Amino acid sequence: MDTILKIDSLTKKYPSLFAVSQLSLSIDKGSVFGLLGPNGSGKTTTLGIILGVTSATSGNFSWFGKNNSSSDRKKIGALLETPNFYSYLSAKSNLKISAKIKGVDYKDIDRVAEIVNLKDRLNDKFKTYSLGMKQRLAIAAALLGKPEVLVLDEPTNGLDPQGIAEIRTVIQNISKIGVTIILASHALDEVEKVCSHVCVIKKGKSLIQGNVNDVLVGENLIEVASSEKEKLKELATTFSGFKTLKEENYYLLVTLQDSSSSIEFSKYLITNNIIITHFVKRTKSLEEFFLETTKDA
Amino acid sequence: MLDLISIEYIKLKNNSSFWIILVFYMLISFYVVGKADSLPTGSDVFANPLQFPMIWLTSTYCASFLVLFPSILIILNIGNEFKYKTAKQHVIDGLSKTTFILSKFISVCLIATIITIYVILLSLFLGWQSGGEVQDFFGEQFSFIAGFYIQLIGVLSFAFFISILFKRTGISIVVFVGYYFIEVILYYLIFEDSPIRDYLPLEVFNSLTFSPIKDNLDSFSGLSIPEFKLSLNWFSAAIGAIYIAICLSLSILIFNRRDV
Repeated sequence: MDTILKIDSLTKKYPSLFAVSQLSLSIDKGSVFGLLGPNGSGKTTTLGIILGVTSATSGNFSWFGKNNSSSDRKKIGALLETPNFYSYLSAKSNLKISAKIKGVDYKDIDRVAEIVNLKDRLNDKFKTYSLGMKQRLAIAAALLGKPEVLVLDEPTNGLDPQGIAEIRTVIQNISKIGVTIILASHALDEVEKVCSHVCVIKKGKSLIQGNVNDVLVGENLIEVASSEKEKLKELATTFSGFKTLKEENYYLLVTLQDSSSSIEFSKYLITNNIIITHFVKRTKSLEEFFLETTKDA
Repeated sequence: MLDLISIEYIKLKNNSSFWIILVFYMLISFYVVGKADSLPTGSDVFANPLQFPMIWLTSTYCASFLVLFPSILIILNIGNEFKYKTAKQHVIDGLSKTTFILSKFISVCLIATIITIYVILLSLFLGWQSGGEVQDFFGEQFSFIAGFYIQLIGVLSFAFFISILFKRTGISIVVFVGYYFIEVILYYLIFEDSPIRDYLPLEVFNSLTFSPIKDNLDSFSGLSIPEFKLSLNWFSAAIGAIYIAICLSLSILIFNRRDV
């Protein structure tokens, strides 16, 4: 498989801390790569370096297996931190500027506006846009000229649930047409929902990386709820693969033994004639996840 | 190159503060140049500073006094790139840092060109109104238009360099205006007896436009009548060009060494 981006022992040292420390990773063509870490873990710094706006203290990176040049970035669509546009210009004028820089024909503007569903608002000034629309416009700008790679830094940050869902749909649609996506996020569920590969970083160091299913699904966690709460509790604790139980607001969080499966647990509950109102297999919460990974590191 | 010009054109065309400051500058300079004939004149040769070919000295000299307006325009223009983080976005989108600085320098040249063309038209209009003779239209004094253009690009380059260095509009304006005072101190106090003072940047740029009135006043006072400056001092123009190159090179150097 072709390697789109290779990072080799990348380090960025600020006077008081290492923002990125000896980070190495390799991203294959067509993958959706998640860079997962809490705020301040070095995600944006890493992306800033590979996008040419931040200089690395040491280490290398290479796009498309070549030496880096600024014109390579014209094949990369990127949204770093915030949408950066002229507030006094219309969305269309802003996209024209991006198109000129990338050497893309103005005709492409309508296409990308269509993808992010902003076609009707193109002539409005950027300052009149809502946060979600600004974010979508930034994605539209990143999509100009059909880039081979899309780099998105916290694309759903600060959005309402509808905005988050819209952005996710856009990302998923783009990845379907074979565009490689690099997504930085602090939201585990976001990475889990859209990414094929993940690298977890904390304090600039890579803790773990690999296929998203291998990395994120480590434990059998099930949210389960029923109107007969006491009966449910009793049944859960008597299940053969039961490990631990925690009572949450309106559901029970049941941890099963590794050998046991959620299907068996579900079957067991049904055969015991209890009506289940909520049954979700979930991965660990980010908090739990990080506590665990950092403990190991 | 054409792409870079059209990028800067889009940014300027839709910027209301650009138009407000530019129109303001044009109106004021029209008023100031137009009033020049009410000042005392004494020379026999050029009785009226608004007649050809003296109008070229008068208009460029008066217009150069108002250079603060376009300088603020440049500071705002560069400041926007940092305020909206579009400097960063341009680099992300594939401009090299050097190309970004050069693209912004195009704004300097665009604004200087617009103003110079305006001053030419203004001079032609006022000169024609004052009943100038056709053969005097483009005398040797027309070279002051070239001087004015270099002066304009020079002062704007200096404002450009300061705004790249300080990023923030407010600080840049304070430093830019503050430098005028610093140079006055350097000129009159520190380098009082030194020839260095003639090579201070703003002094060099100022020497590229020349007041017809000043000469007349000198002749009034009965002192030796100075040799009338008929054309631009091309040596000063060359020094000015060197200062422009320094401002541009330093801007490129600073921007390349910095994380955007």
